[in-house]
Amino acid sequence: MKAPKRAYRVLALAATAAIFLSGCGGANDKPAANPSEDAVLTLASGVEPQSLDPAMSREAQFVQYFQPVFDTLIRRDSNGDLQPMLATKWDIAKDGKALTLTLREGVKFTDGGDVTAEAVKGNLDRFKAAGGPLAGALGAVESVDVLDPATVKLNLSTPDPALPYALGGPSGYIQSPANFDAATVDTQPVGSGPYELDRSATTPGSQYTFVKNEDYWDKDLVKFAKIVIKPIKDENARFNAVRSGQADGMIATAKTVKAAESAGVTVKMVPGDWQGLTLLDRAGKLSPELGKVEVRQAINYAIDKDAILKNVAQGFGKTTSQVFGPSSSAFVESLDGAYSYDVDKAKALLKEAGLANGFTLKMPTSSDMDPALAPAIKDQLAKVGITVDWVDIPSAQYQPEQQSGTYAAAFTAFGQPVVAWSAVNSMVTENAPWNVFHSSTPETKTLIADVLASDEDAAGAKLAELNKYLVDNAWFAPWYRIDQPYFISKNVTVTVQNGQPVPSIYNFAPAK
Amino acid sequence: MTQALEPATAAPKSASAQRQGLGSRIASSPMAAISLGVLAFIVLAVILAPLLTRFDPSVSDIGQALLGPSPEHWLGTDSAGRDVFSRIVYGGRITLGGAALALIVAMAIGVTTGLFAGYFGGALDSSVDWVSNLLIALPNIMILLAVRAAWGSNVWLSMTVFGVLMAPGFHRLVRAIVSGVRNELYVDAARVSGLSLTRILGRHVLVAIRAPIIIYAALAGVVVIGVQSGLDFLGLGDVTVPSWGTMLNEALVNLYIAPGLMLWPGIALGVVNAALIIFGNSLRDALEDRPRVRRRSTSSAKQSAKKNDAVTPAAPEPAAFAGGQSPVPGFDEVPDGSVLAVRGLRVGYPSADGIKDVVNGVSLGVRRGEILGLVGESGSGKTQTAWAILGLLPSGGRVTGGTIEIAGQSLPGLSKGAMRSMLGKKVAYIPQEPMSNLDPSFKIGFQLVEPLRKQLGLSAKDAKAKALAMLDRVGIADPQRTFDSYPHQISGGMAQRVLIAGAVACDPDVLIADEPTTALDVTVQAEVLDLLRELQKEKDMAVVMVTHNFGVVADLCDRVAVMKLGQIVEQNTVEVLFANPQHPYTRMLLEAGLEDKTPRTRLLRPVDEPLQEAAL
Amino acid sequence: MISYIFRRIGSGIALVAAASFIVFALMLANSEHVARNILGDQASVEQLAAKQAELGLNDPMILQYLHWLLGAVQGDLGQSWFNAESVSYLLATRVPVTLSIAVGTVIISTVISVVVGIVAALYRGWLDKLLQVVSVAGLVFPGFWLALVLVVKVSIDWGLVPATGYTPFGESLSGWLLSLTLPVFSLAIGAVAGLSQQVRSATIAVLEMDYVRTLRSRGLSEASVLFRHVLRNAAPPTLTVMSLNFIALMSGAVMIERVFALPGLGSIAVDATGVGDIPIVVGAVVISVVIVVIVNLLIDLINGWLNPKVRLS
Repeated sequence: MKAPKRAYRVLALAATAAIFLSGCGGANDKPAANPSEDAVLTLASGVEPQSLDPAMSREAQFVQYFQPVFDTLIRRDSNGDLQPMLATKWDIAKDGKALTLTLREGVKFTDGGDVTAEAVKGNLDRFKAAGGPLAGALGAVESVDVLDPATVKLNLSTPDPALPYALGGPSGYIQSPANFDAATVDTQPVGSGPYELDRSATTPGSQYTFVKNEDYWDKDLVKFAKIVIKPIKDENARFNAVRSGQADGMIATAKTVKAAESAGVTVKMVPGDWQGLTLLDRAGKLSPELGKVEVRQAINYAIDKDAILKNVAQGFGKTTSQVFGPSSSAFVESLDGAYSYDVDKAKALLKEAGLANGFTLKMPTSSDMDPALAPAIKDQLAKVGITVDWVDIPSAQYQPEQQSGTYAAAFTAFGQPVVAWSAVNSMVTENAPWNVFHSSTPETKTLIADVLASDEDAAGAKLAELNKYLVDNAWFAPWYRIDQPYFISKNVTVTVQNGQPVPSIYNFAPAK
Repeated sequence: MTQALEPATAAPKSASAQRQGLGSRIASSPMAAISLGVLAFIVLAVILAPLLTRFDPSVSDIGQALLGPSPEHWLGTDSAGRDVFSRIVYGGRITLGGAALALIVAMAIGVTTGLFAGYFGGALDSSVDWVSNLLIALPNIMILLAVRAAWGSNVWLSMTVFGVLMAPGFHRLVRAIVSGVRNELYVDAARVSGLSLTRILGRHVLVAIRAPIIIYAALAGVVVIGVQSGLDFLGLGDVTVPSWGTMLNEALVNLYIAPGLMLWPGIALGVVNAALIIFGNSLRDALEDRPRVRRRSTSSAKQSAKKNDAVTPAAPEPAAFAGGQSPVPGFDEVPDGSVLAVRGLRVGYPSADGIKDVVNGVSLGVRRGEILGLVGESGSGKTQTAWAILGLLPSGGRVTGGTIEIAGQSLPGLSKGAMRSMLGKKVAYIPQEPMSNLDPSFKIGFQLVEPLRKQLGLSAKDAKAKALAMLDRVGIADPQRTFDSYPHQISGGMAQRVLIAGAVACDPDVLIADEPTTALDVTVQAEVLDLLRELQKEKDMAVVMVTHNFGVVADLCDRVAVMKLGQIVEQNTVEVLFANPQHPYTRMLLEAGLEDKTPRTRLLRPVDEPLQEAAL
Repeated sequence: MISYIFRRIGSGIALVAAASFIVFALMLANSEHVARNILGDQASVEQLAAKQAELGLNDPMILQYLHWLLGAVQGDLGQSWFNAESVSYLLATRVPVTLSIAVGTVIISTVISVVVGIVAALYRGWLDKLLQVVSVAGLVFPGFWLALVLVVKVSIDWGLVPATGYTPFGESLSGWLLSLTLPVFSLAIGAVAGLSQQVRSATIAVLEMDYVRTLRSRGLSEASVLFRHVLRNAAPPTLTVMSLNFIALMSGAVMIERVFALPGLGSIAVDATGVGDIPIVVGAVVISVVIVVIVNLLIDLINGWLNPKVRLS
């Protein structure tokens, strides 16, 4: 037995020696950035896509995985405005029920095929039919017509103000039709984008490598020789990667900002989610108490938003009572302060509703929520007599539970899209995914119909009216909208992307 | 959680440990008592949480978040403004309560199945064993994850499941002990005398398994706490209920803002784990019956031995004999020209009251070509004397006085290296029990060749040749076959011959034979004695033959010394001593030795001293 | 010998089947959220129902299990529900990570434990006591807590070693070793604590054996006695504890992988059980059990080989 034990010892000695020797090389193996063609952009991402098939793609953080390979029909610039990409111009019909796109000539997929109207139609039809997470983005599209090799017409069953913006994301990724039925459609994407996936340098769970597409039609959009994306779910681990130079960009939370600043990591902020409670059961089906508008208003008055903003979001954000963001047309500045922190008012409202003795409200919580939130809310609502019964849910079942109709209210953090209609379609319309109890009143019906019937300018006013209605009737109890931090290393510069928690890859450039 | 548990420990080594109550065992070991006290205190504190804490652990005041320690919040507040101290105390309920539940479930299942499987054996045993293997092979964490996914984050449920997964550990422990105890004679005796099964299991078996279970449970507790807090740490615990693991999860979330949140839950875990481990370890040590005495270093013992040497050749005073009978004159004679000369030898062991001597001033000498028999009952110190001469006393023992010389070379002060070169070449040893004195993992041949190469510097080929020659010389029929065999493949008689071969291979001047025939069959005994006599004549060795059998003395020895309670009471030539034993003890031994030969009708001389056990 | 191996493999297969069934049943007990997790919050209820049917979640449990089993015995562990890759492929990239940690820890801890244990056994007294105290200290704090402390101190404050991520062996040897340093260190502390005590008591037990005295009486050097005879005989119980350690490490690596963001078997299992990616969960369990069975078999074979009585029979 001594022989194997001795071998172990030798191996261990060698290993230790190797550690110490290589330690001289330092933990930071990244070469100094130079604005040359060798620049590599390494991003640490908090998510990993289930599939690289654009029909299965998602928004928010996921865009960084798809933008390298796929062009979108329309590109969202860093302000959230729409710019030409594969479509050079687009027109909405007068009645809002058709969208016509004129395509750019001469763009090729990396497999040699041409980006034609046929290809675009194929993609759009496929996206709808595939039933992916965002299939609903083309929910209003009834059919797609090819008018000529460079013109596509989308026929809509109902006006969809959010459609052009949506075509700047998942529903707008155009992949080579030759790849539709390939066995590797989920793992080897083929698009016309600025980069191509290097499958040999890609390991799921570890890293995704995209190399420059030498034949890309817009040289200005390609600023790196290579983009590497590392999925790192744990924020502390992401932070360590950026600190030590192993990554150039990461999405972060408020709690890490101070540490980033002291570590010399650059902190960028972009307007982010609104956080607060969504009072789902406005009709009082599950919780009769919540069916009373006074109760919902009382909840809005009862929360000390500033305290939560300070202690949980570390002060990075702005308290608000509306769910729409400043970039959107539905935003009304004065609504930010619609509900101040007023415990007495809350109590009075509850008394008015006949609930002077309070009531019990069950809500789901999970380890995904910041540990301080649930106790804080419980404490504050208790002060007005509302007993919150937090039900612990395993974190991966948390969001499904919220949408299951089992709870009358829940803590939510929702994006504030640049196009207000997206938010309405997501939270307010009768069949919206987050309108779990299908709440609707004659007023909301009318206002929504008005929005759809109006042209772009008039729609804004209608959306603002809808916003006011929602605030007055306390469909939600928002606390604040956060400033979403994004950290970058010294090797790159970036412009934040309005309406997106992470910058689009086009927004990065090597540092000079 | 990363620490596996050791395999089932055997039953406590000493019978006295079993006889002595568990409670007094614990009390006698200060570490065990202290750690048990700490555990009890913590458990009490956790149970009485409402009395000790001023705050509800779940009540938060967001404005008071992350405060440092203050008179109001002894350990400060966490990120939600909750009182850390309260959360630690209440959190113990989940962490410790959950762990306790898992242990109780594991013991309830494992001890029961172990009892029945160990006692009855057979099909029951093998089927339970299969299930036990399955449970051990299951990846614990993944099962608990799946349980949580299936049935939610209820800690009592997941800890019950974990208890089931841990049951095999207890099962194996109990089963091993019980199947060992089952074969003990006293259980058979109990069965024969009509005790019911439950009485037997209850009285005898439970006593045997009691302590090992407690020890194993203490160490298993550490593992359970680790897993339980680890799962909470991963965010899989119920976040609405405080526990040490969820507090650590909160610390992780706030790592850059308040890394100090890691501190108190970590300390709490550390204290509990330390108490459990120390309790388990000290209980285990207490059961192994090791007396604790501050030992002088061996070098100072050598110093004092050297000093004695330099001043006078040690002339020991005859220590007071326990029996009151003084030794016969000539008891300490060391003949001139003795190649082995021992004078006033004292050998002692640490005991609770300091060093206790088991050899109390022994003097003897052996000349070349002479065989000295060293006779006495068990506990007389004869084997200790033999080991002292060889410098191979068991751990704890040391020469506390007197001198030993071999061919003029004084032994006790020698360096280890010098002593080692004497062993085998100047003085050699033949042990008593042949099978336990051969290394079971190596071939016989290797065990013979190894010392030959070291002591005589022979090449591999020459050493092998010599070993084969020695095997042949000691009367082994097929030397090559024995050379290539392992100890378990040869008989006791052959093994003893091998040991003899090994002892005399380097032609030592002095040979110490420690009851070399006691463990052998009667027919083989005579052969081995003949062999020893031949070898002794052939190599002109001085031999010390330790024995309790006067027949061997009569057969083989020239002179004989009788030992009692660590001292020589009489020493003379064999003829004289047999014909005219002077010391009453000698006479008593001789008469007892005649038991096999002629039926005793009456004692030749009255015996008035009570027999006493020597303390070791 | 061959029949013994075959019997062990046979019972190993039975173990894998039983374990996979248990986990399968548990995961299916609560699977309503799986479709929602796959499709996300914007998907419609109809989409969810379609996905549910597509995954076979509406079929009886036994049927679903048999379907899986049929594929498994042909070597096909199925497709992840949350990922486009096959289960085998995904797990194959994860296993080396966890194995690197577990094997690395076993090697380091064994080397240190043998040294420490032998020293403690030989030089009883204050050194022994000190080593016992240090051992206790090593066991006292959970590995993940030590890992947290190490991350904060060594990585964050001192910036010595990269705290996160895993560099594959093929990519860079030094990177691989560096990424393993802290994880192995946090685990080895606990492993050494227990193993060194085991080596110590096994060595003490052997040192008290009669044949050790007899060997010494032949004049063998203490080094020969110790390193050849004592170690050899103290090895079997030590090996058994080592194998138990290894199995515990495979389990305990889960927390460590979380702290250091290592893409190992443990972390993919945690994520998969959470979202309900049943093929991955069952696949991970299968691989875990297979590794455990193989390690146990190897250790038993080595122990058998070490014991001449067993080796020659």
